[in-house]
Amino acid sequence: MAASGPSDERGVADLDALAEDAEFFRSLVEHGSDAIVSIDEHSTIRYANRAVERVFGYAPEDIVGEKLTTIMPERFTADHFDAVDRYLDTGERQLDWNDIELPAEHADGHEVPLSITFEEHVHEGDRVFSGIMRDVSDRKAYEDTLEALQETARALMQARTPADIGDCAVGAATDVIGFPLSSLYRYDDATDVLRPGVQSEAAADLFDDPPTLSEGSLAWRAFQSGEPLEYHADDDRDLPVHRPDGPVDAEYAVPLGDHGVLLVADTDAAAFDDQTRHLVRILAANTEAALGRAEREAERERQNERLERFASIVSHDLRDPLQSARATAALAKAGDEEALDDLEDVIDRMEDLVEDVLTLAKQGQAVGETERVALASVAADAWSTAGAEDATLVVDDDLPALQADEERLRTLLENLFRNAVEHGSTNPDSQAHQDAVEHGGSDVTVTLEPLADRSGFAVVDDGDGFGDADTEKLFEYGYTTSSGGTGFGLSIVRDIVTAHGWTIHATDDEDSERAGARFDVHTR
Amino acid sequence: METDTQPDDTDAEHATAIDPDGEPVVLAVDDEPRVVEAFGLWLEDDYDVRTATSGEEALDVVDADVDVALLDRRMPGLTGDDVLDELRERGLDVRVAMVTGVDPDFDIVEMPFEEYVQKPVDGDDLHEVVERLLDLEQYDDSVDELYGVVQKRITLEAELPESELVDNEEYQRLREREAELEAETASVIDSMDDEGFAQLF
Repeated sequence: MAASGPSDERGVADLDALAEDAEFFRSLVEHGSDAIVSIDEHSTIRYANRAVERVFGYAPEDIVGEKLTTIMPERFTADHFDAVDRYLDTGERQLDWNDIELPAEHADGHEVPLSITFEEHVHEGDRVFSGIMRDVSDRKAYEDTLEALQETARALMQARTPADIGDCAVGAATDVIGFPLSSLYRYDDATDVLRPGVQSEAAADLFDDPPTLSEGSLAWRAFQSGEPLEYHADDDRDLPVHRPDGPVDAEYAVPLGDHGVLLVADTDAAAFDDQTRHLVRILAANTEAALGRAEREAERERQNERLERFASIVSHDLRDPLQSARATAALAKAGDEEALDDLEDVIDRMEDLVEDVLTLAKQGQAVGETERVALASVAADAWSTAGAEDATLVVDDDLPALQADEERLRTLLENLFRNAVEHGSTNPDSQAHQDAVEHGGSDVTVTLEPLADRSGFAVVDDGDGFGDADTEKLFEYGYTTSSGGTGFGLSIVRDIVTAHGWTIHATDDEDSERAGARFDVHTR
Repeated sequence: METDTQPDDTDAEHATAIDPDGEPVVLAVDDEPRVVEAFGLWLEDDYDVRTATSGEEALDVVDADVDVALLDRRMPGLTGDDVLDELRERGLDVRVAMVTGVDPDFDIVEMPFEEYVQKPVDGDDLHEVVERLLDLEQYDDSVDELYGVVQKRITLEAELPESELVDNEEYQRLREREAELEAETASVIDSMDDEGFAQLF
C-alpha cells in the first residue's frame, strides 16, 4: 500500500505513525469505494460514507437519521425488522454476514444488486451495525447474460437448419449481448466468399443490400486467420472494413470455424470491453458447434436418402434380370438349347450390376490422395480394359496436367469409354432403332481431348449422340437406355467427378464430322 | 343369388361363344422375348396365350377375346402404363395385372389395373394371378373396382413406410374409395360363398 519499497526505513516508520492517527481511518472509510452504512438498534442510519451517493443516489447527509428501509426495496422491510429484533433478543443470525447478495433501492427507484458484509461493534455504549456494500450491477448483468447465453446454447443445439441457427445466434447477439447491429456471414465454398446469412433488423435497415465479403474486409481476415478481429473508427491501425465512411464505428468479427463469421457492430467507437468480447466469443463458439452438428446431420440425412434410393433401384434392377433368368431356365428345361446361352448373358448382366453397385457403395464419393497424373497414360490403361476390338481411342497429345486420385480417374475413364463403346456405334442400321443410344456397336472412335479453354478434358465419340435421352438423367442411379447396361456406369463417373470437386456435362458434340456424345469434365 | 347384383353371365357366355376351345385368352406383354416365351410356356396348357414384345404389338393383337392382360411396365416406346390406358380407352373388358420390376409408388393409385405383381414370377405365381382375375369376371364392375382398390392399398402398404402413407392424399383417397365400394358391394359379398370370398380377397 505504501508508495515506497519495503526496504525503505522511513516508509515503515510513516505507516506506524499513521496507524496511530484516527484521522487516517476516518478518511479511509469516508473515501472508500464501497458504500458503508451504519445503523443503530432501531435501524436508524447513524453514518454513511461518500460512496453511498454513487451507489444509492443519496447524499450521505440526506439519509443519516433516516431508517435503513429508505434504501431497501419494500418487500424486504418486514423481514429486516424481524431479523434485527430476533438478533438483538437471541443473538441468532438469520443471514450469513459475509458477502451476501441483496438488492438495495436507489433514490430513483431502481434496484441495485449489492454484495454486503455486515459488521457489529459497540460505540459509546450503543450497539452499531455496519454494512460494507459493493455495487455488483456489472458482475450481475454479466452473470445474467452468461445464463441467458446458456439458454441460447440449448436453443442453438435444437435448431435444425443453418438458417434457424443463424436466426438464433443473431437474435442472441442483439437481445442478449445487446448489439442491435449483428449479422452472420456464411462461407460459400464454391465462390470462396462470405455471404450474408442472417442480419439483425437494425443491420438490415442500415445496409439494405448487405455485400458479400472477401479479401479486404475485417470479417474475411478474421475468417482466414481463425482469430477474432476488432475494428475501431479511431484506431490508427490500418484495418480493412468494407465501408470505412459508413455509420459503423466499431466492429468485432469472430470466426465460426470453416462455417463463416459472426459480426457485431456499433455506431459507438467504444463498444467493446473484455466482457462483451468474451460474451460474443462464447456465442460464436456455440454457434460454430451448432452449425457443425447441423452439417453432420444434413450429411447423414443425405447419405440415408442416397442409400434408400440406391436400395430401391438395386432391387428393381435385379428383378428384371432375375425374371429373365427364371424365364430362360424354364425354356431351357423345356428343351430349348439356345436358351442356355442366353442364360449366360443374363448372369453376366447381373454380375456387372453387382460389381458396379459394389464400386458405388464402397468408394462412394470419397477420393484418396491426389497427385499430378499424366492423363494420356491413365487413359491408355483404362482403354486396355474398357475398349473393344473394333473401337479406336485417339488421345490428343496436348492434354492438360491433372491433380487427381489416379486409381479413381482410371475408373472414371473406363466408365466413359465403356459408355462410348456400348452406345457409340456408327452402324447406319442403328439409326432406325427407336432409341438412338441403344445399341451395342463397337466400331466407334473415342477421342480424349483438352477443353477449348484448357479447363479440363472431354471424352467424345463419333456415334449418334444422345438423341432423345435425357442428359440430365444420364448420371442418375440405374438410368439406362440399353437393355445390356447396368445404368450405374455414369453414376460412378459422376461420383468420382464430384469427389474431386470437378463438374461434368453431357452434350451432343458440335463437330459435324463426329456428331457423337460428348462428356466435358471441368477440372478447374 | 337373390340380390340385384347378379353374376355377370353375359361376359362368360361371350368368351365361350367366341373362343373356339372355350379357353380363356391371356395376353402377355414384355419387351424381353425370352420372358414372354416363358410366360407362354407356363400358361399354354390352361389358356389360350397371345404374346407381344412391345406396347405397340400388344395393341395390335388385343381384341374383345382377351380376358386377362399381363403387362410389363418399363418398355421402350409405348410403356405398359400407356398400353393400360389405351385398353381402357377402347373400352375392352379385360382384367389387367402389371407384372414388373418397378417398385410401386403412389402413381399406381390412378392406374386402372386390377393387380400389381412384382418380378420375378414363376409359373405358379402366374397361374394364381390369372385365376384370380378370371374369377372377377363373374362379378359386376363395383366388385371389380373394389378388388383393384384393395390390391393397390395392399401393394402400397407392403412397399412404403407407414409414415409416408399417412401423409399421402392419394393413399387416403384410396382408403375412402375402398370404404365406399365396400358399402356398395356389401350385398354381393354377403351372397358369395366363403370360398369365393376367400379366393377373391
